[in-house]
Amino acid sequence: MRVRDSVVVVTGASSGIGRATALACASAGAAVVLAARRADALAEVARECEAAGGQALAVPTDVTDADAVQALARRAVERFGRIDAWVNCAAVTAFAPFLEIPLEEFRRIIDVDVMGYVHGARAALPYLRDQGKGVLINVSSVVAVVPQPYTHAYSMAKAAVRVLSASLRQELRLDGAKGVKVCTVMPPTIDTPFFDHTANYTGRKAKAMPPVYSAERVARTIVDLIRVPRREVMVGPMARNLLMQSKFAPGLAERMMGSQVDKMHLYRTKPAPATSGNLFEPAPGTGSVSGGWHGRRQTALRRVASTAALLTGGMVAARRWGR
Amino acid sequence: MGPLTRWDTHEFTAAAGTRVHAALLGPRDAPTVVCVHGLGCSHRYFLPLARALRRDARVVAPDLPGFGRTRGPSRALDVRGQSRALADWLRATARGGAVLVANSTGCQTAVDLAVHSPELLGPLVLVGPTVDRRARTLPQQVGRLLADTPWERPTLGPVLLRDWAACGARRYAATFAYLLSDPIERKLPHVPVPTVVVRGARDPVVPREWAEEVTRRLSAGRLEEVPGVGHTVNWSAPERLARIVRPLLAGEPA
Repeated sequence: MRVRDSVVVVTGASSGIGRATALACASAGAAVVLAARRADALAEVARECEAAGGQALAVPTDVTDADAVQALARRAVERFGRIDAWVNCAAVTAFAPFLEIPLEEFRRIIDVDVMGYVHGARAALPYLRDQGKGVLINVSSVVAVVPQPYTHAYSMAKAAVRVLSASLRQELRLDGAKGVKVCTVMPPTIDTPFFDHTANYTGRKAKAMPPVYSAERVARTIVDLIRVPRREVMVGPMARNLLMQSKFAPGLAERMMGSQVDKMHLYRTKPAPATSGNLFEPAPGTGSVSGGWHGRRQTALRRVASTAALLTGGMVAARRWGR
Repeated sequence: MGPLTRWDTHEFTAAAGTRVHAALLGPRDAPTVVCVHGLGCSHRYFLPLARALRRDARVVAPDLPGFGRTRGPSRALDVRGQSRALADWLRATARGGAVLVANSTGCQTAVDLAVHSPELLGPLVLVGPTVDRRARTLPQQVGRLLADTPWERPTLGPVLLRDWAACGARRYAATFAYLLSDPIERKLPHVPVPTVVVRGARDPVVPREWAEEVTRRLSAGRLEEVPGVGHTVNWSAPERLARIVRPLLAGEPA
């Protein structure tokens, strides 16, 4: 489907991947409908989208409220006449030992990250099916493939989202709704404000676990999925690696991810007070795409390093060969 | 691109179950002319006409669902579906009563409006109305369209190719089938507004006999022939067509 002139609804559009996706769609000429809790942040994103060349409509929405999500779809259709793509992206998380996270916060994460997507799918699919054409994109995560310690609720939710997509694909196929596609996007660690917004009961400050990629990279993948829908897409080589590892050495992948998170996802030296983060109240401010983890620079550095490594390896091999 | 090779603005309206795109050109306060495109075409081939009328009219060229920049339903719309979409858009944009200029199969869409929403019709210009009652088969129509190509300006080619790519072969074929079976002659007497039938004198798709019949069946019709051009008068002789449209803007009798 062409992205130009299409109508794209994005939940979680106030920051991170959602915001980057809205901007990418707008600059490709789509009309975007922006949903998140923060009205002021959405107004800012709407301005940026309009400056990028698309029309935009901001609809402050809490995705845990099924009626509000239905109203979001209705507003989108009233304003722009149709829905071509719906991107479920709103998600929250917590870092906490299993026995220490308050149960209601655990529930809240499942509520936002699973039920929020369910509400989105239930709101979008009637319109997509009526039109006979459309794409539902669920942003999951690599942790759906290789889960992490301390983020049980989030990992569970992301696995659930992946399964929801697959289940919906099957159902749509059985119903003969050929033109309606459901896609899952599985990004690795992305440079977004996510890690500053997180609830945390570990006593250690959370950081973006390397390798970090930019949110724009995920946004590009999502735009590509609107153009040419695919079942499941891993973003970046690290995610594809993890998928392979989980298939060929699942036990090893699990153990490695566990110690990786302990070493790299939480600072050893920087303490953090217990907080419920943005679970119940949105983070203050007008939001941003990046979380200051230098996703783009990190990717560039990795590329330079791996090119250098390849070249060196090549030269060494060539010398050996030549001798 | 110079200022005269582009439309002034583009407008999107939530109507007819989709996001209807329309291209606009001309002064805001001038009377409105709505252009209805033919099969597989879009707003694009009305640009020369819009340019010719740029001082006298605000030309608005919508894309019907599935054509040009308007997304359509996955199944092609029949003639009634298209005319209802047009009616819905005219209502949503409050453009009912504007001068309607339709080309080719767009005439079938415009005339079908008279059946269910006559109140939306303004003065009507039918440029090359289709489909000739005596040649309602695919081979005949394809033959006539091919015979028309020498009479079109070559610059129309790229414009049409782009529009055909946008609508796709399946929608084109399905819509073509609906258009072939549309009995326009039975609807013509119901058109309650003054109507000018315009025919390119070289147009093999609309022979003079058929144009005369169309004019005869209208309650207030008049035939104009534009010498030396084929089916797509709005592209090949926009100035001549503008001269026919202009008096209608002032509300003069057709």
